[in-house]
Amino acid sequence: MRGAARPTTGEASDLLPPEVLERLGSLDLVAKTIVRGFISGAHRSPYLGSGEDFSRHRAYQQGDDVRRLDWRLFARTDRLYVRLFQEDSNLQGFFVIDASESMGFVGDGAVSKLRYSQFVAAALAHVMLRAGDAPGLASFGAGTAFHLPPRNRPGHLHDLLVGLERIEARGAGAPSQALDEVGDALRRRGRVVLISDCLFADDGEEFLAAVARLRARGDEVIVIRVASRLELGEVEGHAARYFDPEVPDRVVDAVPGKDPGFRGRVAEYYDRLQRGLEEQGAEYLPLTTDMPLVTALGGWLMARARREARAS
Amino acid sequence: MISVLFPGFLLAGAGLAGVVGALHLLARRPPAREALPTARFLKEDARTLLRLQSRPTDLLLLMLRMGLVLCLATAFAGMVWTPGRRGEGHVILLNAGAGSGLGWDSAISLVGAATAGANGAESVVVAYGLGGGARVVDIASLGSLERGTEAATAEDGLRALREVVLADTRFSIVRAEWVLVPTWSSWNDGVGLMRPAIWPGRLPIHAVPSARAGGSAPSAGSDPTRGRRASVVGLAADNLELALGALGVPVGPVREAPPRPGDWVFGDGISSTELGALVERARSGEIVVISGRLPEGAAGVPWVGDATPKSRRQGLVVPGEPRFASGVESFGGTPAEGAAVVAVFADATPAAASVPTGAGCVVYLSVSVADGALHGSSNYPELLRRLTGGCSVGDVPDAPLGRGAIASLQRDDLPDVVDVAGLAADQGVPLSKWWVALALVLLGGELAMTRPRRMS
Repeated sequence: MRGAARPTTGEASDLLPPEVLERLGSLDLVAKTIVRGFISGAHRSPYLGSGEDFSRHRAYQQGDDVRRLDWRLFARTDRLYVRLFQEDSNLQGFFVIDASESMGFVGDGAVSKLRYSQFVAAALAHVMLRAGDAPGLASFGAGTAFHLPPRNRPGHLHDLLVGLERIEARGAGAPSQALDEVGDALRRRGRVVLISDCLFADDGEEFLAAVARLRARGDEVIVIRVASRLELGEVEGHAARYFDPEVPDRVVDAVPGKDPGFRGRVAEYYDRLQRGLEEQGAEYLPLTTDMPLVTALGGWLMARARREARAS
Repeated sequence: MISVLFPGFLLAGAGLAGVVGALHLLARRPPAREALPTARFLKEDARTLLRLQSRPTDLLLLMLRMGLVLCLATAFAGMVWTPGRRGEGHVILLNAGAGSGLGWDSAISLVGAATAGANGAESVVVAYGLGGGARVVDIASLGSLERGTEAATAEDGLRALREVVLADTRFSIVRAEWVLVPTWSSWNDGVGLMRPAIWPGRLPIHAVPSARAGGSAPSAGSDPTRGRRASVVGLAADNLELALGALGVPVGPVREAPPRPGDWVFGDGISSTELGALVERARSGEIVVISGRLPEGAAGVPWVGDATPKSRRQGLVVPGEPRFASGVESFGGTPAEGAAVVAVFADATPAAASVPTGAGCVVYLSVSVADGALHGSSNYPELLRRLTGGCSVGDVPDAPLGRGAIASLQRDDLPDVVDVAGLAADQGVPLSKWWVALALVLLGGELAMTRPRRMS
């Protein structure tokens, strides 16, 4: 995702809701449709390094590789400059998809949280591969499953999308173990993109600890939270006997629409989680299943690109 | 006016709606079980859940279902709306028998007055006593109506009411009244007592003042028992006074022919010889009244069967007196074939019968008498005088009742409420299809409301 991602403005694709994407069928087409919405022009890494394409000169600083000195320019100007090249982006990353039972929840949206997560992962994988990064795919639900190692070669996107399609919501796995295993699988510093509803049994304590371990390794961690507005309490639920799909034995006789504190309690949980992630230096992106993906991801990617440009 | 052809359906529908309501309450759905990943953040609120579970969609559904049942029941009940005809029509029973000749023209005038006074509502004339039986006749053609050749009776009028008016689907019979004048109070009483045998349904009897009863006749609008109300008015040309009284029209004196002294013979028992002599007197033109036990094989008398004292009966009723005795000892037997019943007991059993004999008439009274006086009555001569009226049709308020006719009228398949006003049901607007349409709308609503449940 080191690409210069910019959302197009005013295009019809910006408004594509998830239910329309669902009708498109294959994830490949979905990913292209989304990415077409927010990618325009050349997609190039903003990082300068040891690639093939010359970018610009910079005054030599102590510690610079002497092999990058431009001797011709030194002969003409009698000053030392190093040549900077567009870095060949080959960042390794993992998409970690939450495939627990609760991700199969549809709620008020048109698609389930898992399906929405698949859209997100497909679109971001597309972007990463275009940026020269190497995304892999893992999931956790009934257990941790490694579907694809991080690669960047022709055909990898197809494999990744096929892997995404095969993920089904089952079980109630813990993310910490999956994150630890993913961290071990990354040979060098990389990026871990967790797409989950972030509803963890221990209120996310182990999860935050696992994120902390990844961050300690120097990995970049992005947590994309996917939820429906119904479970956030933003849409009034009716009277029923409710149960958590991952804990079906525990039933709560309740009327969400008549429980004014419900929305606040859910929001408080996610706020606490967000604060914990930000303290770890992880990035947190909350999404709901009714949000058009182009708008949601495009805006986020553009803001992220601006941040990185400023940092560099 | 709204009328219902089959009110039983309404009752059945109400009962069925109650059953639907009971089933609805009994078969209340348990709360739905639904998945919600954030269920742990919900607050347990079983009371609100229970309260909301049966509200308000379920109540609406219940009302829809009950309404559906009631609409269908109402549709089947055959509801008819008759605009602007609210009980203002008359069914006029017109005696067109041979005996009506005396006042026929007056009767036609009265019919015209009655129909004109019906405030624009349709009135119908049912003429009885015609050769071919009773039928509905055109008011305009009354003047040229060919009348019957035999005298008609009150029984004929009642029969016409039942067999013509009730059988005619154009009429919705809701009420009947028989209007009599007070000067014939005994006959009124007699009709009242005999009425159950003639007309098993409800038949209120109203005494209507007439000119002959003393005082001026009431106007058409002042008499609450007649006029605009939906009722059947007996209009008999034979009983002109009665008819005029019913219509509130003043009448002149009515002709009477009181029996001549010596026209009757009576005794506690009678021999065959005496009986033969009495019948012979009747043939010569006298009216002979016989009472007491008859000899074996008696001939020429209007009575057959065992004429021995049987039992005490209540209320001997004869035209001309309110009631001759509260309790009398009656003989057995029945009126003979062709004889006319001229008196009855309170239970409508025939008490006396008459039969024309030569130029005269023989009357038999099935009551024990002794010493020239009827037991329990101090007015025996008057009784006999009235009995002789049975032999002179033109002079009695109404013709005697035939035994066969009574039998034919003793049926129990008539409605409880019988007499009426002429209401043409075929000119009303049937509402059944609208009720069916409303039922379909309710059915659509019910299906729409229950669709999510069926789908799940």
